[in-house]
Amino acid sequence: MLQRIVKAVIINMKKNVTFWKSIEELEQTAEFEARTGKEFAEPPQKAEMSGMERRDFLKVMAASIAMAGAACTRRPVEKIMPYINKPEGVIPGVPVWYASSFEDGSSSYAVLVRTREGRPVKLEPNVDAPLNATGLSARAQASLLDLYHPDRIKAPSFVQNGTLKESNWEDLDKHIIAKLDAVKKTGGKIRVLTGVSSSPTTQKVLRSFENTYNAASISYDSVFPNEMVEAAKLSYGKSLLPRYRFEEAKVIVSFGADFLGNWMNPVRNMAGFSEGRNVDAGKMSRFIAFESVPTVTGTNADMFVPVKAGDEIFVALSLAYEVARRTGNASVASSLRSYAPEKLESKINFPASHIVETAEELVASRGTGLVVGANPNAKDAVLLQVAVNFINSTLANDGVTLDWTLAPRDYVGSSFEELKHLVAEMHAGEVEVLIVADADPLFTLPAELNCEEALKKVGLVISCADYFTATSAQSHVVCPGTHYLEAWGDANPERGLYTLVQPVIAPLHQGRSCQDSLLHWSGSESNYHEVLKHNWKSEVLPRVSSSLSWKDALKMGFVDAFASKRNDHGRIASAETFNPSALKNLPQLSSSAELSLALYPSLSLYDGRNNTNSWLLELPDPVTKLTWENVVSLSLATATKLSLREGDVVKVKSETFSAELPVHIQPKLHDATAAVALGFAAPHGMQVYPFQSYAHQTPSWNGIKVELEKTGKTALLACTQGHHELENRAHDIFSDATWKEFQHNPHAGIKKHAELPSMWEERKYEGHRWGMVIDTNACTGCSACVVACQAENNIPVVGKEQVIRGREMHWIRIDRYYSSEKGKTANPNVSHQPMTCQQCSNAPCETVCPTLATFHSDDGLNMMSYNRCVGTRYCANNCPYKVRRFNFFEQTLSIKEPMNQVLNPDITTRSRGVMEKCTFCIQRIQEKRNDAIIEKRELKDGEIKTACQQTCPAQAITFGDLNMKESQVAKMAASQRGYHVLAELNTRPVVTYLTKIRNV
Amino acid sequence: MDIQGNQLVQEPLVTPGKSYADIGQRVCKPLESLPMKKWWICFVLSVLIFLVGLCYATNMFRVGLGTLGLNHPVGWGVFITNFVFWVGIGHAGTLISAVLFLFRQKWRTAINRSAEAMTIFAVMTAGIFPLIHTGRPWLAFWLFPYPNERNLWVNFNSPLLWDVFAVSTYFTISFLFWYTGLIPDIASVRDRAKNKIRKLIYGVMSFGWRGSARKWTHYEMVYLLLAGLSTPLVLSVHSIVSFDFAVSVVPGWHTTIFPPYFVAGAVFSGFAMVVTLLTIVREVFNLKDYITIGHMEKMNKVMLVTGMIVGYAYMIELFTAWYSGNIYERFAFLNRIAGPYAWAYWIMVSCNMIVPQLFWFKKLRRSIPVMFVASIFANIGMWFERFVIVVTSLHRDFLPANWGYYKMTDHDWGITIGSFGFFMMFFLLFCRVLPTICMFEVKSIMPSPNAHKGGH
Repeated sequence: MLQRIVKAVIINMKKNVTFWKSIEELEQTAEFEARTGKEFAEPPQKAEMSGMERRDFLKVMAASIAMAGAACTRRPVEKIMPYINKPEGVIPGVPVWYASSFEDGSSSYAVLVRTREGRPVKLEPNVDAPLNATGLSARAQASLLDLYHPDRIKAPSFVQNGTLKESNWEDLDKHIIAKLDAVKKTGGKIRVLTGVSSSPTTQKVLRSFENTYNAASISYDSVFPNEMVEAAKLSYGKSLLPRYRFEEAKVIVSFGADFLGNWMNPVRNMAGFSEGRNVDAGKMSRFIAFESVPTVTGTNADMFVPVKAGDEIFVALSLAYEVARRTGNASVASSLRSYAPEKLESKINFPASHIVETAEELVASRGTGLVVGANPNAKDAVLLQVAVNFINSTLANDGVTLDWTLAPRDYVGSSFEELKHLVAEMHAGEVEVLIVADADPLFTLPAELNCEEALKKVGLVISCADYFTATSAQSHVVCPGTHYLEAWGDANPERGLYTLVQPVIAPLHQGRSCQDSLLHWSGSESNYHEVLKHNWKSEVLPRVSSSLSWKDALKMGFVDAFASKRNDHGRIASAETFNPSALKNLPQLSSSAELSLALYPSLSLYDGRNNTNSWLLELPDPVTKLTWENVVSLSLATATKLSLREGDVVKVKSETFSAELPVHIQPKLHDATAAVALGFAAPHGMQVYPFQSYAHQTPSWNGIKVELEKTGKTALLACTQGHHELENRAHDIFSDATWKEFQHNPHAGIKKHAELPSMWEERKYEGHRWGMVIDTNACTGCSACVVACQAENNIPVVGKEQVIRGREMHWIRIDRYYSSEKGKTANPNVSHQPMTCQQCSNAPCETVCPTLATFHSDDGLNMMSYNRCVGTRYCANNCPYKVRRFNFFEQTLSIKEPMNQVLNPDITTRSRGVMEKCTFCIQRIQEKRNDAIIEKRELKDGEIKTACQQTCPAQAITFGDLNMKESQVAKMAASQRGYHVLAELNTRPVVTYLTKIRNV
Repeated sequence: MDIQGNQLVQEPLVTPGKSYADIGQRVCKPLESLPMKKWWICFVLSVLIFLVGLCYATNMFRVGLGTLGLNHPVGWGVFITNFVFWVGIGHAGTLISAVLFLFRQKWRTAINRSAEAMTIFAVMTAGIFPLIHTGRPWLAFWLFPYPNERNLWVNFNSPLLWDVFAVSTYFTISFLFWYTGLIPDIASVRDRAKNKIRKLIYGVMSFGWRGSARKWTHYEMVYLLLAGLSTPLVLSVHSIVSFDFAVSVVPGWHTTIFPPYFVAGAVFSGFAMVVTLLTIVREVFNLKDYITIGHMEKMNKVMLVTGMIVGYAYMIELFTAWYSGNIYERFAFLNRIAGPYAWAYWIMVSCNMIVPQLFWFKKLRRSIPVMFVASIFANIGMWFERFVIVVTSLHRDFLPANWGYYKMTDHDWGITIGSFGFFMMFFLLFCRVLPTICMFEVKSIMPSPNAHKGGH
């Protein structure tokens, strides 16, 4: 056969042979003819022993095997399709990165989007931006999943009887423009209600729409700290928001502001907070929290004082009084005399000593203290913030620990008054067209405003939304929006800093950004991209530098006009500029025996804008460790008094609303407070916004009188951690020490274990040896790492039922322990301990696996080969840290389209019956290693970042090569604060923990 | 079979006045007649129970192990409990047939056949569990070290692998031993057969046994050797099963007392199961003359002894935990006594330590109803012993943040109960097709009706 082909080729060649190897070839002699096609000049030696030649044997064998194979099985016909025209810049298997930014509410982050073959698979912090250089929050990490959410509205639709009727953009636009034109002619009111956005170009688009139709726009966000803007106006005459420098504060006081969770810019707050507590550099701030709901922030407090929900205002005024008294401000002191600490003690039974002590410390650290306010919509929120402003101004903290000069230009939204006005207009039937974009007023506004009725009186309600929200259901037309990864956009998170949002994927469905819609409806020729580009070229970029091009800005993702001045300590809010008359409308000190309700935005769901995001729903709350639902938290004393137990379902009744919620017993909570997280909605939890009070014509989330009524039902709570105490095991598991002890002895808190001799020769690690250091003093428990790991490693979501059964799959979890001295169990210390595979050098899991599916690598990793795993689960049983996760079901295949597109192609998904666990992001190690090999260089320290490390805003996680002497991880592993969890077992983990230091 | 022992001072092992023919008649009767109603009821019930288990197991294979109550941290639940339980049950057979044979305990002859059959079926039942408890049972053959093109090998460090060898060896030897002992009796059945097919089947199964002196010599040598070979296995199997736990780091598992403790427990539960089964068998098949009350009493004595060894182990475990000073160890045992699974612990203690104490009294020892109830209690207790070891140790180990609770689901129950159906199904079939009593051995210990001793 082969010979025949060769011959045919030669015959073919004969026609125009121009090159020849030998005379024979040229002459085409018979001898040459005979030889052509043979590989060897002489035939290879024949095997004389057998009757058949080896080659013949092989031929026959090959043929018979081929025939046998062909006869028995037929491979399925599966067509694969390569890129016919490969898009430029796309190399299959090689990620492409884009700079973009994420914004929701008051937080705004610069991100890098990792895309693979054209689809975004992971978000990472843009470390160059002076915004969130250290990491990303859990919510930002999880926003990726929203892009692929199957519940997104797929097509432009009309709403009929509360359901969607799909249509197309052409019809929809025609319908809308006709209505807009008609209303414009009659001079009717056209209103746009948007979420709060700092985007300068969106403002431009809104202005142009307003001009076209003589419309007006109002922005509203239930969790945006509007009260701070108002208080700033009252205190200093300017509508501003400050930027905080927690790193410079020596004493921090908070009245419930969850600044490490979701208040303002939590990522930067966290970075600053942990930097200010860098004990190795001799820094240690003291944090005093007065909280009605123990937030993740409160769990990090050195002194935590439970306050009855709604009483924060009294404590703040009392502290203002003490500070005024001590700084000789007689006029303020006299006006606040009725809040003197002893009066608080006598009237509302609040321990005066805490206020006195706090005031003392604040005054002593004048100029380096920092007081922050409360969570949004606290009771008397504006006044509370004014008191906070007073203290900060009086103590000259302005310009040091907080800076009002960095306020963004157009950052502030509309006031609540404007919103109320809009609703009144709607009720009056004056509004003919209402466009609701990225806001869900029906879900979040107080029931007293009766938004539903108001909406019914509007001629045309257009809802621009990603999901079918409560408001969408009451609108006439639904315009599907775009996810920020599908659209253009920008943001101006603080003065001089502009970030860009660029689409990294074409819209998955028929969505169109609301800016594009508005532009289209206002008759603009250009789309939002062009407007954005023009705005940046003409206005934004020139402010920064004349040489900056649009492409540069896109590449970087942000521009900073203020780069050189960002750390200037501008002062505009000093004691002199503070207007003491802002301290007016002082509330009466009063106490009541009733239970007081506190509503709070939960760390994961915030105001509920992404309450269908399963990564967030399954993320254990850092404090309660509950997933998938909201509960009513009570203190143990209150629960005992009411003879309620964990999981008992109670009816929470306020004057206006009632809801059935399961009880959760929460330490650190004030006895007279019941706390419920906002943002949840059926089927995952309860919608509790209707509880908010509307007492002073403003919504208030704190201090609502409620009663609890037993229903006799019980519910199983999806809690990921059923036990909360250390059972006297702290010395083996979690080391902590006080700041004083630490200064005296850097080893404080660590139990020394005897060196355990080994019968075996130590394993030698030549080359790399990967290791990790987790600084529990930096870790705040914010849980961003959990979501980042989930996104990076394709970790399945299991659902509430399975969490109840204890089958959550997270590879990294935050163990939260309470510890207290006897008799102080109501207000214990909290410890957060990120727990992941310890990659033990003497791994108990490895020895017991019968199939060698888990084994040790030469660079010190505890490997897991899923293909070889038969699922005996022996390894998980024998793991003292219980970090191994078993696939009880086939999880990946059940992911609804198109959610499966979020899967990271660099890492395999695991089938059912297989064990899995943290691999130290081995795919990332391998990627960087390959880069180094290709570039013929050594790996650099810090080049490889695990997903958890990369996202950790507090930089509590360090990863690297322990064998590299100068590496950061090696240095930190040798820290005097270093210890290993369960060291006594001689598992020799490569994860070193650093002692937590408390400034008590 | 020529050593007479001290049979004179003991009560007769067979009710006096029976002839050799009586034995053959009585023992072969179930084989040669149609099943009785009682048998049918038992059999149908067993098959139904087995089918229920099979349905649950099928659904488990289809959906995944998530149908069970397992979770993090409890990676092993009732399946491993069942495995250890059934392997333990399997102990009595080998002990009776091999160890008692070597010690020339003549009383074993009436019960060894059924005890061994029980062993075989118990080990078969046990073997199911490690297989189906794996996440991917279709790949469980990877636990065997077989040469393969991928050059993958097994981990000889893993106690689970030792289990594979221990249990399969145990099964093989026990089966051979049992079958070897059956050959002369099968030949008798063949010789009694009046129907051709029957003759053919039993003929094949008897391997052409002719009962010549030469064959008897060979037989006795093989039997002795197999008895010798089985004896260490009695100790090794459960020791190795206990290594699954003892070799780990889990507090409550990591204990050196486990091997002897497990063996004693296994013998205890095995004898309890033999007592349960034989009280039924001698009733149903009317074998009271051959499996006498004396036999039952002897087994109760063994239960008393092993029950006390087990009780001693419980005490020593507690003492060691306290004496070690290790907080995890101490906690593990405190948690057993007073934790969420205290009920299981106290069931275990009362069934295994207290109930056997009844057998100090001769009257109770010889009372069929008492021993039947007591043996069932012992089996329940031993099942709970394994449950306590497996589950309570796992559910609260080192890091309190991991603590959890394990609850059996319908699948756990269904498959567990189904395993009893599986076992009973085989045992009932055995009773119908093979002689439940070793006829030739019983004949050897009878006073010869012809006053002519020793001849076969």
